[in-house]
Amino acid sequence: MENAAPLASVAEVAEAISQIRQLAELDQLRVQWLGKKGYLTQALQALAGLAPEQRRARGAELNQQKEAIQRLLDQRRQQLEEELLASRLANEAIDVTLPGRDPGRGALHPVRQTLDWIEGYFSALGFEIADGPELEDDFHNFTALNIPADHPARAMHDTFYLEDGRVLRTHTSPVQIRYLEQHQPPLRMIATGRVYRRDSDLTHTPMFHQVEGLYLDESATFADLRGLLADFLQQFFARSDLPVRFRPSYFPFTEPSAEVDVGCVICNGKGCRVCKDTGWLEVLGCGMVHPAVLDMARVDQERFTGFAFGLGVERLTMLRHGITDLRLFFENDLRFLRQFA
Amino acid sequence: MRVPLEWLQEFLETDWSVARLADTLSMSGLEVEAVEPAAPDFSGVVVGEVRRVWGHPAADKLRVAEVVIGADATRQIVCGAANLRVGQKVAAALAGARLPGMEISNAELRGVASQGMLCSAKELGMEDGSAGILELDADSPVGTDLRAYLKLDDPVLTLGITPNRGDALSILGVARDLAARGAGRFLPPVFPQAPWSPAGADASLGNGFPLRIAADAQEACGTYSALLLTHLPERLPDLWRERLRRTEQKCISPLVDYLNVWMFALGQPMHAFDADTLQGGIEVRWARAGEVLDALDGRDLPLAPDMLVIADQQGPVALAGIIGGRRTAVSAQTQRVLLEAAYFSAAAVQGRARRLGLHTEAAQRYERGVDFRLALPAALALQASCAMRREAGVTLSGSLPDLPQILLRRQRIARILGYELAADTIPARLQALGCHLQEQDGDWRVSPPSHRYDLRIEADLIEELGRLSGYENLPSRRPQAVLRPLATTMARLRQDLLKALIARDYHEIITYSFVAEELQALFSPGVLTPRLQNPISADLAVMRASLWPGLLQTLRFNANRQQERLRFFEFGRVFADQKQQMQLAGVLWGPRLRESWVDAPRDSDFYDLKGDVEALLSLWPEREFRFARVEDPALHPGQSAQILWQDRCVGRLGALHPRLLEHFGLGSAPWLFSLDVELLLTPKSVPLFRPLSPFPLVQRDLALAVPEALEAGRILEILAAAGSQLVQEIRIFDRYRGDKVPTGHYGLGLRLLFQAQTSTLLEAQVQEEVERLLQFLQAQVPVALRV
Repeated sequence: MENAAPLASVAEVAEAISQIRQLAELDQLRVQWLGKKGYLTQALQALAGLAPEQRRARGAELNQQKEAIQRLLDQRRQQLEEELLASRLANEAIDVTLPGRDPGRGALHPVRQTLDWIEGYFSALGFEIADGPELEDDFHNFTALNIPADHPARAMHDTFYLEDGRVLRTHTSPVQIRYLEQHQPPLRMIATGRVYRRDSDLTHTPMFHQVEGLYLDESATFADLRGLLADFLQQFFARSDLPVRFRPSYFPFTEPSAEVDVGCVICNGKGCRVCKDTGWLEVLGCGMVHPAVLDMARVDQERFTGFAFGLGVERLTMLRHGITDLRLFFENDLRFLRQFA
Repeated sequence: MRVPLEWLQEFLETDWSVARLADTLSMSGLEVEAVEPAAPDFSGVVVGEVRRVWGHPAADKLRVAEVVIGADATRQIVCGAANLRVGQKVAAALAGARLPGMEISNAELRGVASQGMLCSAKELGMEDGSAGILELDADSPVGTDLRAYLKLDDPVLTLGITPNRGDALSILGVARDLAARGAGRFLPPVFPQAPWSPAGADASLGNGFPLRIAADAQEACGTYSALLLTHLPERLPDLWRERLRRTEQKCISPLVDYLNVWMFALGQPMHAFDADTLQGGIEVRWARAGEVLDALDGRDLPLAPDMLVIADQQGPVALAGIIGGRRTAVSAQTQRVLLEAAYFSAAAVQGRARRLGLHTEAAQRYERGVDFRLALPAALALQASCAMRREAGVTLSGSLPDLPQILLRRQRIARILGYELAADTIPARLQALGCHLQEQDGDWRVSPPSHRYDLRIEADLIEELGRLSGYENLPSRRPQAVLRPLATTMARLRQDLLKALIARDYHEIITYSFVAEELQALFSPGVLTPRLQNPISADLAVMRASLWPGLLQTLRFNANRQQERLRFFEFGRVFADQKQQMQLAGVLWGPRLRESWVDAPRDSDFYDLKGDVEALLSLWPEREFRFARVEDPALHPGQSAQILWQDRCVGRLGALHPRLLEHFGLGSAPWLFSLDVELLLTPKSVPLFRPLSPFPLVQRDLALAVPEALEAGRILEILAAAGSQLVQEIRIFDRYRGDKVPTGHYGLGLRLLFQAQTSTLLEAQVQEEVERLLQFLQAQVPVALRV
């Protein structure tokens, strides 16, 4: 039989398959053996000419061979495909340690970050964010806050005057007055922004930022003020055990008034240059709103009491980040700004 | 205010340590700023007596002294001081003494042995400068250690006194406050009996020297005592010299030094006139227009009619409660003085010194309020302390203030402090301050003492109760309030805007709101903004009309520090005559990308800037913003645009004008933008859902030849106006210049994306819509389809 000649043992075919390195060669081999005119296909077709007895035995043998070869081909194909993929992947490997394309990322100014933090904190407690003009009139900046002309308390502020008689607001407290012109208690308000004093040296800049808070309600007391601010300061400095103390002080628009100190966050109260060896840092001023201010705002003082507080944002920012020079805030050196991303 | 502990103890019997006293003062509202020893460390200095003095054989300016330093002990000391004289008591530093910055040993000065040094106050570190050696009291004990004799280890407290506490500008007042906080027993001064009763507003001193308080000045001058004194003091004793030195008051002349001592002790300023220079009598009155005072500080002060003066027949001799005049000042020749001790009301003094550029101890006290019962007692105490002889004396009466009766309600104390004070402790606390109380229906009527002008209303008394209890002992609690919604604010939207810039590599800066007028004129010629009356410097003289100058100054600052790629923005107010509006502005400069191994470097251009601005505007996707060419003095006229929304300009952007580029000395042009945030920061509308089409998108590209003068934006506008239902989006994918388009034209590649909601678009439908759009476009502008 012409087609019987190349029939070899499965072992020989297996040997041939294992020698194959290319998928295409494997395909050729498959066609050669199992294709329409392949040896085995032809051998199977030739069965028709055999006697039934012979046909059965020979058919079973051929089918076994066919299955075995098919299996070997499939295994080899899978092997070769895996090798191929592995080599492709190896070729495609890149240096993953090279830096990525960096679109860059800027940062908010550290003072803005503090402002945002404080606004966020008090907003969460239901304080409304208010705003007021930076060019302010004498009435709102001083008189309405119980600071009459010629009063020694005016000397506490070195005021910038405009040629038209207005002033650059020396504090954010006038926002209290403007807010009270528009709102009735109970109320909770926070205002932030730029303020100006005519002072320029190592520890003063002619412009800086303040935050002002105002709280009027039916049962607001000095104890509430203490609780509110102690929580705030402990959260701000992220230390629940931060000591907070209230010291009597004087502001014309609060009575009683207090200055608030925290245990020095630089030296933990041991005494250092920043706290001038006192172990304490003065961080804000506050008090119960002065009756004269409430009078001016026509608030029923028998029904409502309340408190106000004000703080310097640059100082808090310096303490929070350990910044030692106030002037860095307004130089805007990129190397400085980048540190707060 | 400086308080020597030793002096304080004259008014306060206490066994508290200085640390405890200091802490108590701070926690009582009299903030202790420093506690220092009265003199820096030194040792080995004793009181000596100069027995003999002779010339140095080899040096004209040196002399040799024999100094007694104890029983049978003398030292020979060479000294160069001009005030060295026999019989003098001196501070002798002996061999082995350690002075600030110096050690003393036996030495030979130009061939003469010197066994020590006679010290000046400066050499002992007690004063900054001194004329000659320190001269001690004639009866100071020879051989005693100087530190012990002058009590130089005693501490001095520096207090920061708030403007409401004029009463604490005296040793007496500080002692009284400490006693009220339980620091010890208050020892009030014992004053001599008043030798006369007050007269009216018109009287005469002794034999016919008339004095009066003008009728309209009686409120301003409540009482005026004049004492005619002779036998002026010749020396201020060591004890009081030391006290004055510790309060940082310079010694001037023995009489003036005594006045200062008593002012610091009691808080009562006094003034002495040379009685023989006063002409004809004196009057306390308001200044007259045009009057001038030849003030003791050497200046001639122009007086205003709201300034209270002491005047004789020739004119003002003192500005009441502030400063005296030169013509009637006491001098070394003065034989008789007229001592003035008066009560001037705070209202009559406040603000005047500041207006005249003066800051005096007297004005500081009168402005804050001086005890109106103290004047004559203080004058008598002064006279007694220095044994001056009184020839005559008189007290004029103006009208003294009335002490208020303040209702203090028990329930109100708890209402303010949030704490129920034990009722039986309240009267004692206030009485310790000098208040008088009367109980009334369970509450109190309180009359404050004459030295506490800050106690006028109920809240003032409640503060005192809180203060005396110690704020540290008051309770603290979390406030309770009603939950209620807040008015919506733009804070969130503002934060989103800034965050968008951060994400695009911009750093926020904060610059001053005032700029140099010349700089402003470059950016905003002809724009007038408010000008400061009293700027810090000419560089900070006018309110800014634009954020760009500050941004560019910051840019230059950083470029000068080797930065090559900068992006900054500022969010702040800009000012016009009456407006103060929030603006957001930024600048970008240098390469488009951070330096990298992966992409080729390229400079930033207008479209980088515009892309950043568009990213900000995309916060309001429902708003239609239009960019249009604009002329701006700060911007390159060919590379600048304004942003229009609802036909209002809400911002500008462009390249810095080449003229300004030169001004700032920057190599390549920075790109600037500004947005009028107040117009933009209005609520966003809530997005409404549109159904998603399940049908495929069809894309058509058009290549147009467009005349150079026709802006691409105009073509997009026209196509948008064509109102196609099928067009979902039009993109510009190419802009081409070259020989493939006719001269004077550029090529524009448009990609149109079509999609229908209800069916798959047929080729014919798309073609028909493309042709309709082209016709619509060509009907308005001369563009051609490139083939």
